[in-house]
Amino acid sequence: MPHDVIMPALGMAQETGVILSWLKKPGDQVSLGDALMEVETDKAVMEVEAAAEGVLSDVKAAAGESVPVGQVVAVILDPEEVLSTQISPTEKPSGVAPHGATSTEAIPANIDVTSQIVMPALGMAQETGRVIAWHKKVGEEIDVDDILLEVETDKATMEVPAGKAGFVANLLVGAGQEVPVGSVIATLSNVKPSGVAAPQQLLPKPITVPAETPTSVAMPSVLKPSPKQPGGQITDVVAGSGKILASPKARRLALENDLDLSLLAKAGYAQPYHVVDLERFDDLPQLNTEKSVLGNNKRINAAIPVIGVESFLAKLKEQADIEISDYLVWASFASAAWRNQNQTRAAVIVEVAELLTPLGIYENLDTQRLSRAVQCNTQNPPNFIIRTLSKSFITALHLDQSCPSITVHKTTTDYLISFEFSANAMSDFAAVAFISDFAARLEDPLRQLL
Amino acid sequence: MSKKNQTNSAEYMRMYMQMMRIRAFEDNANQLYLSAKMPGLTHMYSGQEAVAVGICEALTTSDKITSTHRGHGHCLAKGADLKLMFCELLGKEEGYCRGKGGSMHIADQSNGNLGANAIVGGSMGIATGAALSAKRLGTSDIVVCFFGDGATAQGLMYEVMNMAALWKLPVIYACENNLYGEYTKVEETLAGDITARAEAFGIEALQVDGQDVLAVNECTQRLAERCRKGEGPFFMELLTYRYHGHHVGDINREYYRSKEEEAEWKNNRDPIKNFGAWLTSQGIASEDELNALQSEIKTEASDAVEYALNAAYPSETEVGLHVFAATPQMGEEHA
Amino acid sequence: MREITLSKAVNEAIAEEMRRDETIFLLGEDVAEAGTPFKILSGLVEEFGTDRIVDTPIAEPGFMGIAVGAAMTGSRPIVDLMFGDFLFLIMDQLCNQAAKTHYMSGGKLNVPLVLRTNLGATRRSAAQHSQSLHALVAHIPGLKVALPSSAYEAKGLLKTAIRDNNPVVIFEDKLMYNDKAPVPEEEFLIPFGVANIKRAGNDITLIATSSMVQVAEQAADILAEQGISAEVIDPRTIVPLDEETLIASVKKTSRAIVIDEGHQSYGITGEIASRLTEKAFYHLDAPVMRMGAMDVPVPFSPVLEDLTVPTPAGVAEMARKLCSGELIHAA
Repeated sequence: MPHDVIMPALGMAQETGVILSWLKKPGDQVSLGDALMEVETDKAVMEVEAAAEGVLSDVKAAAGESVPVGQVVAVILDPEEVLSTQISPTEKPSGVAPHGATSTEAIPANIDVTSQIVMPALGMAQETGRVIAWHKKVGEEIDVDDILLEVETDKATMEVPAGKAGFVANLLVGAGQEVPVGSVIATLSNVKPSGVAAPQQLLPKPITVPAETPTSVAMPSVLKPSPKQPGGQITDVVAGSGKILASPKARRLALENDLDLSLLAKAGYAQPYHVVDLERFDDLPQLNTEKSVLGNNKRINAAIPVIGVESFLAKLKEQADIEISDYLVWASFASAAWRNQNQTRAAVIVEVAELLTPLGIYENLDTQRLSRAVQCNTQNPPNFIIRTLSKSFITALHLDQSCPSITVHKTTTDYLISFEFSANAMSDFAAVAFISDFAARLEDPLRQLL
Repeated sequence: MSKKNQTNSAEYMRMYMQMMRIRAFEDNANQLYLSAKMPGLTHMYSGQEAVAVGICEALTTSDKITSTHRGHGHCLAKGADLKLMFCELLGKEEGYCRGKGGSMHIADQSNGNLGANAIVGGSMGIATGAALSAKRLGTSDIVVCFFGDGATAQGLMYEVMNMAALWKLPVIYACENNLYGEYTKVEETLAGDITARAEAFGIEALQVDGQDVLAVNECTQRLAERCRKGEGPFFMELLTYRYHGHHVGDINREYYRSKEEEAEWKNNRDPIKNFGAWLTSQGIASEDELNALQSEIKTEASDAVEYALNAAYPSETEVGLHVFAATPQMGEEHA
Repeated sequence: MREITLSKAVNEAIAEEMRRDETIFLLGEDVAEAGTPFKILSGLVEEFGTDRIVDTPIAEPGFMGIAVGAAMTGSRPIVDLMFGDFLFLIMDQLCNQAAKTHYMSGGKLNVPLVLRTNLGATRRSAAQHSQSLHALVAHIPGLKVALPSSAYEAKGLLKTAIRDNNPVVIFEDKLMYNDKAPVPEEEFLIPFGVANIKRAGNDITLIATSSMVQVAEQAADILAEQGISAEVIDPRTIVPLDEETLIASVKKTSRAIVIDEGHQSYGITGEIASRLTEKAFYHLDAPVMRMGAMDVPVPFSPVLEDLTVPTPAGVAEMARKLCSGELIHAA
C-alpha cells in the first residue's frame, strides 16, 4: 500500500514549506529513516525522513516549490507495486487540507455520520426531562434552529431546537417518557435514511452518560423559553427638549400611564425622576396633560402688503397674457422658502387647499413654471399645507394638525398670514426663519425670480 | 539481562507487544500532528517504552497510576485501547474523556489511570492521596506516580514524599530521568542527586536502567510486593531517553541536544530492538515472528487512526456537561 | 429549641457524617489532639482515631493534593485549611486539579471533597490572616461555594457539602465560632442553591452573605425605626446561586444593596449586583449598590481595621438614601 510523503508541519505557525532539494530520485529504493528531501521553513533548513520502506515514486513537487503543509508531495511504494514514475514539476499539486484543517475534512461526504441528540439540561436543579412531543419525524430533514421537540421540566414546557442539521435517523424516546439529562434521545444522520427508517445502530461502545446535576452554564442560548418576554420597546417620550433622566421603573410607569416626564422638567422639578416623582403630576393641574405625542402647536402671524404680488401678477397678465392663481404663487414662494431654509435638494411637497378643500398637491413648485404647474401623485406626505381663505369670512384657521400649515387671508392691503406648527416639526427659530423668508418673497416677488 | 525460564515467555511477548504498541501509537500520533490532523500539541514517549511497560506489567488493573503530559505510554501500558486513545487525541466523543481532556489530560479510570496532568508535578499529590485511600480503605492496591526529572524541582514533590514516608503509604515514585527538562539539560537545573532527595525522607530509592524492560519489571515487582506489605513508599530513578523533542513541534532541537547523542540512544539503546534481540537469543521468538508481530501492530494502529478520524465529535450539549457530578437527592441514604 | 455555637454545630455535622460513612476522613494542621486552633474539632480524634482525623505537616499544597487523590479513589476527605488566606497556597490543586477533573475526564472521575476554611476580618490578625476570598473560588467552574451565616446554616450546609459528589469550599466566619443559634437536634440538611429570606420587607432588598447577614439584620432594625421596611436575604451558597429568589425580591422592592465581606471590587457584590441589574432592570427605581470590604489590605490597627468592613449603620444609611431618592452618585 503506498505511503504518502507529505510536507510536514515543522513549526507552530508554519503553513507552507519550500522544497530546497530532493535527496532521492523517483525509482530510488528508500529505507525507514532515509532523508528524502531538504525543506526550508522560516526558521531553518531541515531534512524530511522516510517513514516507510519502499520505492520513491509519484513526485508531485519539484525543488524550489513552496508547498502547503499537509500536502502529499510523493509516495513510497511497496517494492511489489512499482508504477511508472513521472516527474512533473509544472503539474499543479492537488489541493490537500492546509495546516490547521480539522479531521472532519477527512470524512468523505457520502459517509453516513451519525450524531446524537441528548436530553438537554434545561434548568439548574433538573436531572431528568420528559419528552412531551416530537416536532419532527424520522426521515425529516432538520436545520440547526428548527424546533425538534418539546420537553417538560418541573418549571415549564420548553421548545428545544435541534442544534444540528441533518436527517432524523431515530427517535429513541417516546412522547410522555422521562429520561435522565444527557441521555441520548435521538440520532441524526447526514444522509437521508432510505425508505422506512430501520432502527439504526447507536455507536458501538456504550458511553455512560451519567444523569447530571446541570449547571446554569448549560446552553442558555440554545433554548427558547416558551413564555415570551413581556412588554415592547420603551421609547423616550420626550419631545425635543433633550434627554430626561429617570429610573427605569419611573420611565416604564410613565409610559404605561401616558405621563410625559418632560412636563415635570418643564415644571422645574429636578432630575433624575424616581417613581415617587410621578405623584407630582397630580399637583400640576395647569399643565396641559392632554396626550399629544407631538406637543402643543405654536403660531406665528405675519402681515405683508399685497402690492408686491398683485403687481407681479398684473404684469404677467399684461405682458404675457398669463393668468396664475395667486395661491400658486404663494405656494411656490413658500416652497422656495422651505427649500432655502432647510437647505435641501429633496422634493418639497406642498398641499394647497381652499379652507378645508384640497386643491392639489405640488412637488417642487418653486422650480416649476407656474403657468404650467402640474400636480403630483406622490405618496409622501406634504412638507406643509397652504390654505387660502380668500373666499370666506374666516381670517385664520388653526386645526392643531401635525403638518405645518399656512393660512393666508387677504385684505385689501395686506396678506394676513398665520403659520401653525408643532414643536416636533420644527424649532421656533426655524419657523420664524421660514415665515420671514416666505414673507420677504411675497413682499418683493422679483427678488424671488432672481 | 538475566536469564528467565520459558514459563515466563508469554509475559515477555506481552511486554514486547505493549512496547511496540506504544511506539506505533506515538509514530501515528506524530504523523497526525505533522499532517495537521490533530488539534493542539502532544508529547512523544518514544524511546521510554520500557519504563511504562516494565512498571505497568508488574501492576494489577486496580492498582493506580498517575501520569504526566508525556502520558500516552503510561496510558497504553496500563491497558488502554488504541482506538479510544486516538479518539481522545482528536477530540472525538468516543475518546476516553469524551474529547474533553485531550492528550494532556487523558485518563482511563477503568484501568486505574487517574490521568495525565498538564501541570508539571501536578499529579504527585493525587498519587499520594490515592495511596492514602488504598491504605485507609484496606484495598491491596498500590500506586505508581510517574514524573520526570523536571518535576523534581517542584515543591509539591517534597511535601507529599514527606507525608508518604510519615504515613507509610503504598506508593512508588517513579522518576523518568530522560536527561532533559523541556529544552534544558538536567545538569543545569538539578542540584545534587535525584535519589538522595528521596533518601532524605527515609524513602528507599533505587536507580534502574530505564531501557531494560526486564530490569524495570523485576524491580517494580519487588517494590510492589513490599508496598502491599506496608513497607512503602519507594522511589525509582529510571534512566531513559526520549527520541522526539519536548513536544511534537520541537523539531529543530540541535541547539540543546546533539544529533550524535540522539543517534547513540536510538541505535544502541533502543528498548524494543534490544529486547527483541534478547527474545530471539533466548529462543522465545524468532525474528520472523517478531517482524510479523510488528506488522500486525502497525496495522492495528493505523486501523485505530482511521477509526478515530471517522469518529464523531461530541455534540454541542457536551460542553455544559460534567462541570458538576450528579449527587443523590438530599435526604436519601448515601449510596 | 436548643442553642449551640457555630463551632459545636460544625463539630456535630462532621461527627454525624463520619459515623454514617466510613469513607469520610478529615485532614489538616492541628486537627487531631489540638482540635484546630479554634478548638472546633475537639473530641473527634477520640471518637474516630488518628486514622480518620489526620494531622498533617505544614504543607498545604501537599495535603490538598493528597485529598484530591484520595477523593478520586473512593474516600471522601474533609480538608481543614486553617485560614482562608492560605487558599493562595493550594490554588493549583484546588482549581486546576479538583475543580476540573470531573470535566476533563468526561465525567468518569469524581472528586467528592470538602474544603473547610474561614473568612472575616476585625480580629486584629492583619492582612494575611483576615481575608475573605470566596470570590476567587466562585469564579472557577467545577467548585461549589457555601457561606453559612449562623450555627444553623453551618451544620446544614456542611452536611450537604460532605454528601455532595463535587469539590465544595465552605467558608465559616472565624468571628462567629462562639456565637449561638437555634439548631435542631434531629438531622437536617440545607440544600445548595436555595436562598433564605430572613426577613420580609417592601422598600428595599438587602442581600448579604456570611458575616454580613447579621450586619444586614441590624441595619434592617435601624431602618424599621425610620419607617423603612427592608427585606433581608441570605443566599447561603453563591455557587449554585438562587438567582430567582433574589430577583423576585428586587422586583418587589425595586431597590437593592448587596453586602459581602470580600473586597468591593471584582467580587461577589459585583456579580450579584450585575445579575440583578440585568434581570430586574425595568423594576429598578435606584441603582443596585455594592457594599464590600474596602479595597485595601486589612490593616492591623483596630481603629483602621474597623473602617474597612460594612457596618449596620453604614448599610442603613445607604438604604435610607436609596429609598428617599437621594443620589449616591451624580446623575
